[in-house]
Amino acid sequence: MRIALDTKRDGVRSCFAIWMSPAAGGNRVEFPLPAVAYRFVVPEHRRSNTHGKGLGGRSWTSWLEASYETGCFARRIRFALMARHKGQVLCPRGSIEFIWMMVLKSWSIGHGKWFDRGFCWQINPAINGGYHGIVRYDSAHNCPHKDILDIHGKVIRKVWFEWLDNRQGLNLAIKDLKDNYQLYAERFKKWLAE
Amino acid sequence: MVHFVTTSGLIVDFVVKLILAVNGRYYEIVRYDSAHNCPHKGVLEIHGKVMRKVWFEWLDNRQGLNLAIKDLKELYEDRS
Repeated sequence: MRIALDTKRDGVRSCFAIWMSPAAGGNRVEFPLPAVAYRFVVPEHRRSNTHGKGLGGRSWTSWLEASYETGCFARRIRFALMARHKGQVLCPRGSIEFIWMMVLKSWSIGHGKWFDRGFCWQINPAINGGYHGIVRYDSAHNCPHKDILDIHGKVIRKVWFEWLDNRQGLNLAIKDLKDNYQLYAERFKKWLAE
Repeated sequence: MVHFVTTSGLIVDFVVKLILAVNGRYYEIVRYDSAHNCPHKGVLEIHGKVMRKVWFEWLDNRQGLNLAIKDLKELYEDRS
């Protein structure tokens, strides 16, 4: 296996970062770090159909990228998640305010397909007019883990999933945020009120 | 409550339950188990009926048991 995109040059690795804000105008997409976002878009010749089931034959990454290009990202990310997860959506319609997502993939010549090498999911609901990161899953430190963030954005607790690989960790992250989104948001609101 | 059965070191069956005691009565809130050949989580309503199931089809029993214990340890206060 080798890393498909250049990862050593500036240490950010072959990934893309996406900020989404359907609450603020429907299809609006924001890229707080445009250099990172553009630099690490998966190039055309690296795209694979491996993750393309239900996405019109395109890979998941290229689907998101195309969604950005066509300006209907907020709607399409829901469909992308639906396609990956058997018709379920991330959370009830209208309740996704802000998602930060980063996926690191590597291309395996031997297998001829993409593998998830790293990931980061962070869910940022709009509370009291501001965006707050409350939970983040990521694969840093060579081990999937969940970070619980406090009201100032500082990590207060880490939950390690050392028995999972990145692929399993990514699946768990998406499923857990789908399932417990409201619980995390309510807990965060309680902390804000204290 | 944690219950598991091993054979030659392999976890063949497990159940992890979060039970809440209120006014002398016990309420089962969340249950992780390995029935149906797949680790899954059942969220129960007040009468003990399963309201929702979350399947972890990419995990084996050992991973499912670890996840169950860690998840309930971390979120039991918010769930109850």
